[in-house]
Amino acid sequence: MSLNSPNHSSPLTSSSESERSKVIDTMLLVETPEKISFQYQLAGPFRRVLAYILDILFSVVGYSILLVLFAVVLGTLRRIFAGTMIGDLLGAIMELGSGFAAVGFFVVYWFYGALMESWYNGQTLGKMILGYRVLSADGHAIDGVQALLRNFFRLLDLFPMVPIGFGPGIPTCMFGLVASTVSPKFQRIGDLVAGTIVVIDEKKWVPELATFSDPRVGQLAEVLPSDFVPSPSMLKTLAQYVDRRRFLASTTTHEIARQLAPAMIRKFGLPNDTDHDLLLCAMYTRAFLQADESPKMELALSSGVGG
Amino acid sequence: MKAAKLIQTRQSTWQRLDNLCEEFGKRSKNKVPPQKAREFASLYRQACADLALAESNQLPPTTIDYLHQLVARAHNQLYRSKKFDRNVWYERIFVDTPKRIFNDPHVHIATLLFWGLFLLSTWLAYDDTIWPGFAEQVAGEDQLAQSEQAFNQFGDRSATTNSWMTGFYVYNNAGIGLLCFVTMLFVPVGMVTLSFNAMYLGTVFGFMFRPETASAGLNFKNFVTAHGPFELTAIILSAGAGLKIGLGWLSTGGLSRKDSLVKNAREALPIAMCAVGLFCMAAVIEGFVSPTTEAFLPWWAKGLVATVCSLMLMIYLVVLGFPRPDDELDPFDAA
Repeated sequence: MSLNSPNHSSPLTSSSESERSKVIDTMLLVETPEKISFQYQLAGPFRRVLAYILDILFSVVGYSILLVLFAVVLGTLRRIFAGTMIGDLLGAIMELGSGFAAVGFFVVYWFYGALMESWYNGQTLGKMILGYRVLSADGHAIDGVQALLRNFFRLLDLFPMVPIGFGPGIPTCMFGLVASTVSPKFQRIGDLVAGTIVVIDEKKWVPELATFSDPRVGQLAEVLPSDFVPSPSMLKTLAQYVDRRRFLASTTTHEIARQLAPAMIRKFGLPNDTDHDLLLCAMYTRAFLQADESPKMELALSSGVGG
Repeated sequence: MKAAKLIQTRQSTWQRLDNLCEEFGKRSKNKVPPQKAREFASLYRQACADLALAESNQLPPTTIDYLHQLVARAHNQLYRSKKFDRNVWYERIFVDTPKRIFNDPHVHIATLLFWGLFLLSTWLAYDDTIWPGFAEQVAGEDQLAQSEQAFNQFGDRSATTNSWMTGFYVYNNAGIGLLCFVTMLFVPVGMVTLSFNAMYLGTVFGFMFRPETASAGLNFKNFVTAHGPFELTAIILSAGAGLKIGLGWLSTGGLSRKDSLVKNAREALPIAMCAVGLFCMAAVIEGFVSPTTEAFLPWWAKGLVATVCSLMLMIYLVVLGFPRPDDELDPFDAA
């Protein structure tokens, strides 16, 4: 047996990231140090552009509008109090204010995202509204250094600029789009430099189990053999079928049900003219809704509550 | 026990955890009342247990998805972003960063490149016989004529203009510094930016000190002396920090390319932030001290300002930065 077996990982390669977080489709599977694994849904580039546009509205555009309003109010007050000491004071504030306004613009332009993300746990206003959150690539919260880096390097993601004669031009975001398309975790250049990802962190409602108004479903469920225990893949199929049949036309549901139902009819020894859709609904009822007093399940539940 | 019953019994727990996540998410502070934190922790563990047993409890896929999402949300609230700790700021700014800058080879390269090109261009632009028309080729005739004219009409400015210009210098110069920092990620592009800036500045300096532009040159000297040390150092530091990141993902030193990029970026950020600080200080001097006329503030006074600034830089970069025998190898690794 060779010592240099291919499975033996080199101590130099950092395996932490590859082992602790895996990407399946757009889901990122994270395993915490407590050995709990759960999934995040990654946010793609086009969703994130929307959040960025909102952020521009809140930061640079919002700040400019506030400044103009402030200047108008100050100017009006100054005219009202002209000649008095308050008027002179307001005049002095307005004259020195332009410098502070420009410094403020610098702070808002370069640091808005970083400050928001480090204060509000990885969220800017745009991300709060759309329900996204910035995390470290291993699924943990980001720190201030990462927040600063990913926001500084956004400038590169906006490249190349289309010149319009004045200012920096219109950003095309091509660098960011290419980078996030090529990288498996939808990371733009700023994310790659800072080692961060953006995930969808929205509230979902507890999904309700389906109920059936048709009394024949319940009757049919009673007729099914008592030793029928569906396999995990069968459970998944039934659940997905029942969740979606509400949105489909009856011809389509019958076409789908035909894939599974005839085999089950034969297995259960039901009459051949049993309705396929009805049968699957009955199996669903049996699997998820009807109480059965299996002691094994009770055990599983009690350990679940104890946790 | 079937899924329906299970969901029914657990739903209130999940809902409560969801509500707590919502409540905690609205805070920017990391502090929550201790009772709520306890309740949250226990609810989180229960949700984790539910998720772990979801498959064997035969829950439908939508419910499992919901649990994944719930646990992820709770995890995000449990491990929140760390803020800049005020207690370590002093150490970061006055102990770690100067050492890092003093010992960083990338900063040395940027320094050599910048000053080398700067002095070379100054000389070539000043002495027009070695490379006739060098100044015009680098900066453009219009540009040179414009700056000469601008410095000929150099006069006293009002406090309003000074205040506005200070703000503008912060926005513009620190912005250029950060641009130099990020474009260095693609080393050749960043090198062109740095070299061009060095040559352009050098050319303008050399052109202004020619005997035939003496009157403008006097005003020019008067203007640039005071804020020069901070601003030129800041440009070099932002380029050096960027170069560290740019070379970080090309020469990885045994790490994976991604890990090396992230590690170098973390180490380079304090240098870039130091540059931003220097740009801001330079802007204040440039806004209020530099534009005063000879009559108001003679040139030697500005020279004094420049000397004091240079001394401060020396103390910060060399005295604080000089490696000591009891230094840890890498103060930033612990972060």
